[in-house]
Amino acid sequence: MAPSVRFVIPAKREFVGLVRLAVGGLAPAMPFDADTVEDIKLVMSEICTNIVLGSSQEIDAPELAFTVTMNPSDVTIEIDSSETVDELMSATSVEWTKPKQSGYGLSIITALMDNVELIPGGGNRSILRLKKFT
Amino acid sequence: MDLKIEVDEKDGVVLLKLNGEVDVYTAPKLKSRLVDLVDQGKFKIIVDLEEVDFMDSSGLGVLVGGLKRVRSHDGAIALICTQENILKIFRITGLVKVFPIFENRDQAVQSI
Repeated sequence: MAPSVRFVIPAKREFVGLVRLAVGGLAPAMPFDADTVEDIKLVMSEICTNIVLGSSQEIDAPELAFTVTMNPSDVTIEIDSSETVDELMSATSVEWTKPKQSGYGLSIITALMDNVELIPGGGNRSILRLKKFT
Repeated sequence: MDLKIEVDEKDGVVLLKLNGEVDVYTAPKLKSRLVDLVDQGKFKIIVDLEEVDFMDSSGLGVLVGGLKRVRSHDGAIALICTQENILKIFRITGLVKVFPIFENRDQAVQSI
């Protein structure tokens, strides 16, 4: 079974840097060189930024959860919703599946990852799945 | 994670030297500084990215916003950057065609 690590952080601006640190901390377990790991950190920063900017900045901010799986042939990152961010994910995922609604962040995400797809879940839930192949 | 901004001015050209990370948390600090400069009538600005460890689209957005502000006063923004990891996001987004990017301060000053 491929090693997998799950992170759950508050969806707030000040925690986006922590996501980069966490992803960087997995570098020894990833089948990539340092530059590619930096690319993945950048992509995660873009995704978290997208979610954070769309989320409420109230005290009870929603959480952002994602799982990083180190497969032999790829690294897969799945950003999932929780009850508090269902609506947000639904809204933001539209942008990820329609590149014509471009922004700098979206350009960076699609340029640096090999595969970006939205996986419909039960109800309003969905998972954004990113893949980087070796 | 922090962003330090040093400001230097010479012959009407302002140099903003950034040190640290520019992301969704720190970009507002850069935006505020750029807005302040324009409000003070400074329309020729060089942003030195040589000591920036990380920058994402939050930083790009702030720089583009700053460029729009100074251009409305016939001003300009030039960048100093030789770091491949930073240059990469300017290439991906096509902003290499928007910002003049130089290897050092002298080149940037001459262009602006």
